[in-house]
Amino acid sequence: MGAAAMGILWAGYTLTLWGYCLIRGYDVSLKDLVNPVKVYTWQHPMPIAPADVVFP
Amino acid sequence: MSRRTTGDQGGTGPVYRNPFRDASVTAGRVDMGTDYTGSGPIKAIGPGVIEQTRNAGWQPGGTFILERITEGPLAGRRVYFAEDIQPAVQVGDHVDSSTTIGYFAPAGGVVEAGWAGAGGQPLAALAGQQCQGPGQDPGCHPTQFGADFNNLMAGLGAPKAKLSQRPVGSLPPGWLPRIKAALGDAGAMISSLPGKTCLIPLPSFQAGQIAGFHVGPTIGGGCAVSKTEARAVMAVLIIAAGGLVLLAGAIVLAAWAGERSQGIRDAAGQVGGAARFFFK
Repeated sequence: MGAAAMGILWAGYTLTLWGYCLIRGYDVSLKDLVNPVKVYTWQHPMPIAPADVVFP
Repeated sequence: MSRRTTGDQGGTGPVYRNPFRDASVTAGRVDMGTDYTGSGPIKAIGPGVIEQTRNAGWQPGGTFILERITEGPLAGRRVYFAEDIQPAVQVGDHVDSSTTIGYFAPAGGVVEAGWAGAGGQPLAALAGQQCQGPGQDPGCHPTQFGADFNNLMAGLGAPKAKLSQRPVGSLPPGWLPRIKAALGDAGAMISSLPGKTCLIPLPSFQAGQIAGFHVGPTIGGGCAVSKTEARAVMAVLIIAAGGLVLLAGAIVLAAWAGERSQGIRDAAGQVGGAARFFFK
């Protein structure tokens, strides 16, 4: 049950973080955000998503 | 009257060129167009016909050069150069990118350049993007048409003006591809234009409808909902969903911790009972 709680908390944190990224206009997909082999490999500052997409 | 005006370079080379390439200029404010200060000659942006050299609505003195572009991806669109400029062309002149259409006023000042409609009004004004309050400077904020012209000029090699804020309004559907085509390789640089792509487009709107009356021609469509706006709404919903999931996780965690603490209390009670048995 403890592991399940941690998993749910991680999912909530990830969703909230992705929503924040979308509000800031960052060009990062949910898949990229949770990809364990793509941690901290984005450009800085984060590229802005094109105006012709709803979800990067 | 119509006359062919050719410049010193014979009209060869790219269709569109930087109008300020022989002048010394600094980019200023982006409003309905883009402001430039400097000195020297101003060339035509590309092949076209001069439709106006004066417009009483512009200060000082109503100097306003309106060119209808006749060739290339921007054929049919109109550009204007106004304010502190001395015209060197007449109405009806056929020009190309080697033609000098005017000079910065010797006393200095500002030349505003931008997109215009058939009557000579800036497209930003026709689309209602300019500041409209009573007594307000119409150019008090950047407009989308002004920002677009700024990008075009920068793509051609002119200095790029800095935007003071996100430009107001939107560009009609199909506007940007022709700008990119006009710039060729340099068009890639405007892929990050702060423009709007419509999720729900308006097929067309009459310029001036916002103010409740018609002041110009139909100039294409606008956005009922842009994709950028839709992304912002979705982001808020995702954050709300994430918050609910976090709350659910916290409840499960608390329940789990409660079970654990009950178990610890039970174990402690047993240890205490054993101690009391041995030490009483």
